[in-house]
Amino acid sequence: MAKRIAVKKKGTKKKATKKKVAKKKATKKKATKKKATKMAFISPSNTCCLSTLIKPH
Amino acid sequence: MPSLKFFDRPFIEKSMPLSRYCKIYHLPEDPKKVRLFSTLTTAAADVAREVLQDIEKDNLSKKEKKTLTDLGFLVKSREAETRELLGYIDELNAENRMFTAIVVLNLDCNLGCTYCYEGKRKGKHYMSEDTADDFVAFIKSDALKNKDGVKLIFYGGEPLLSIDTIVRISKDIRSLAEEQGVAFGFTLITNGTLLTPQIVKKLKPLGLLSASITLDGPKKVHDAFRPFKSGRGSFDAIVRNVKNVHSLIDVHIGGNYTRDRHREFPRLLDYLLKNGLGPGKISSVEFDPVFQENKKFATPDFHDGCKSVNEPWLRNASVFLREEILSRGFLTQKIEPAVCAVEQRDMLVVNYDGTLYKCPGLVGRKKFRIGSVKSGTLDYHKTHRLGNWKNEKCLACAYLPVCFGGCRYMKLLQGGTMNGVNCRKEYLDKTLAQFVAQDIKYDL
Repeated sequence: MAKRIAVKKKGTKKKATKKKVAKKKATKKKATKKKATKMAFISPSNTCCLSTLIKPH
Repeated sequence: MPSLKFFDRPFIEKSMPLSRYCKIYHLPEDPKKVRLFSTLTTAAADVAREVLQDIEKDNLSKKEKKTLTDLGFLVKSREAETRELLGYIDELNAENRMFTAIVVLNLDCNLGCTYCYEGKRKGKHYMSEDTADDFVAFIKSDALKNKDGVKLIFYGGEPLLSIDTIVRISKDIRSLAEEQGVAFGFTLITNGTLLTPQIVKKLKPLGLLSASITLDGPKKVHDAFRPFKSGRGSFDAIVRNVKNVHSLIDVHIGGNYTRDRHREFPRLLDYLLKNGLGPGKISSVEFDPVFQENKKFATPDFHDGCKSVNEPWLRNASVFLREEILSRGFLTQKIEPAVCAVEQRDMLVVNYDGTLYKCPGLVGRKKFRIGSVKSGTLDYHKTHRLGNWKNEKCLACAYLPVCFGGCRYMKLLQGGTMNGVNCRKEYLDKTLAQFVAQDIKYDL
């Protein structure tokens, strides 16, 4: 398998996977929360949003 | 022991399709492999080409199937995945325990930037003490319900021209947060000219966490774009302050480039490194294009702004500058799911006069006012086109998780209305593979 699939980046686990393990789900949800806050300031180099407008000042 | 119903069985046993939100990229350096990237989980894997055929034929080993499922590349069904995406933002909003407000303290500034986004809205407009108190009352009565914390982002104009208001608000909210056992902190979006160590030492005990400061390229370029009102350059004053405060708070450097000037920005990075302001001292660096405001608000003499994220030059410029930042060891934003501010329930902008908006770009546009600190918020679902991405085309688009209909403000600038989505497919088609390669190369 190592030859056929090389994982380069694990990313965040999918919600479907989270739901299977109750305890882990809580931890993951916390991670998502943080992300939700961060999202507002995502860069236009990724997708355009508030940072474009906020950062110039 | 009762047998598992079919749909309760671990779904890796079933034939599984590729996620709708999985991009497949060719790897020129290894034609026998392709790169899979999930825009939903941000996982990436390089796989042998025959793996794709084996997915179609349901011919993967159990272990391979599990690996690809865990990473989000294989899904139970594409329809179920789409249903999950439809509830994604609602779920984020339900889980979010932090209230965030961007507080426009004034529309005044000590700089005279050529491209100022405030443009014709600028003036000696300052938040009054009464409005500041009304805002604190609003936080107390409305915003803190069922929340674990409050984050304020002081903004302007230049927020440090309103230092007394920052102190007034942050003192009150800090006490309130302590009373209610919730977290509190604030950041500054500042031009950096007034961010002295004395100011930082005064604000830090009140909750100051970080400052985002703008440097628009090396000295000569920056000073041409962002002079003091007198015409004198501001670069030296800002750099001096950054040197003096980076050990006290997190400092983020931002920069705004135009098509003509973006190639000069790497010289700023070299300058920072040479002057002891490397990655250990600067928390992150990010360069963004200057967008062109419409005629009603724009600074009259500035016409070089970018009108769409899909402008061809921006593709090369954004990949180029991100590489320059990362290759020098600085941190920058990684590729992640993105949601427009208007879709985020517990985030709003408070204007200096107490009126509320969903995004700083909308401030002053009466049609998009969503209430006031005195009267609370109105329903803005229709005016702000929430859920504009819930259509067949967007739901089938692999970029949905990093777009969700794009930026409503950009849509407004382009067409004068928020109708429809701010589609960035063209841009992401040309850039995302390279951004993903950068994230892998620099381990973001």
